[in-house]
Amino acid sequence: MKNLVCAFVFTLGLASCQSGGISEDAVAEAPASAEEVIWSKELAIYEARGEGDISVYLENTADGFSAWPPFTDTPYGRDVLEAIGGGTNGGDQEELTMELVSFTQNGDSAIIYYQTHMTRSADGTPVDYRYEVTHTWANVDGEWQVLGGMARAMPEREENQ
Amino acid sequence: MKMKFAGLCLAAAMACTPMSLADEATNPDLEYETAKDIIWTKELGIYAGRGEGNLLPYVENLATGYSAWPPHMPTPNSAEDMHASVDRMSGMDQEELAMEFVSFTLNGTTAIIYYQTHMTRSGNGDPVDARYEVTHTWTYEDGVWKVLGGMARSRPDRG
Repeated sequence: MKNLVCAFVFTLGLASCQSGGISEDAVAEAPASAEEVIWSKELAIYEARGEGDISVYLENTADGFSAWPPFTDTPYGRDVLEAIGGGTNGGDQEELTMELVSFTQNGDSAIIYYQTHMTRSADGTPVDYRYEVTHTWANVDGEWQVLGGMARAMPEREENQ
Repeated sequence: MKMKFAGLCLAAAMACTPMSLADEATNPDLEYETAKDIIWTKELGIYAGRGEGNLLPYVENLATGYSAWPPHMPTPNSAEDMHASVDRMSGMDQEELAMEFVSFTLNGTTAIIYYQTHMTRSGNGDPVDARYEVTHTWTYEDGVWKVLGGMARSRPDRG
């Protein structure tokens, strides 16, 4: 649910950025940027995952998908992603907020960086986990699809202490 | 004459074909094994240079829009940050580091490489025992594989 709040705030932010001196028609017709499309997909992936639904993630994976979460010794592909429910193992009580950190694009390649803060795990256990995440997206036949990525527990840094 | 005309038409059609489509269909650099070899060789070259205090092999391989997120920074850095580090790295030439390839994937002009590093001596000569897991995203820009970004983490304790 909190992801929905993030998405709404993000949409509001975009709307406010576009409102200064631009007609409504122009705003309505402006194509979404790669950053907007990909961040929206990330929010949707986590929103569904929080409800125990990994299908949104799977539907957005590119051929060759391979990602390396902190808890596995090596990267895994679609089959494992589906088997473990993206780390939720079927649980549907996850509470998690997301914050976009950075985005870059070069042609059909894009990388998004964001932070997550989980306050309840999928099985309902209260937690306080902060992660930093990167996903690489590939434009496949006009559609942005996630090819892989990595996540890490937020490192202790001087500014965090 | 018809053959010449047909040839001209074919040439014209080829010229009108989007370069990305023509490239991806025929370019060996975009084949899995070739791309993997090119990129892993570049990674080894980047770290070999870094071990000698030379970041040039890294900055010379940066794609337009480069941005990567090392563990010690709260936000990703940029190509400008990397260029600024070139002088700072000068003299930091005592790093001892082993690399182990983990995995590679490719889709079109986007590739991801995963590997581990084990540093046993830092650039200033201090003995260390630091193990990292790294991902770099590479993109094919103007006929060359270039690094667009990535992330590294201290190897987690997985018990």
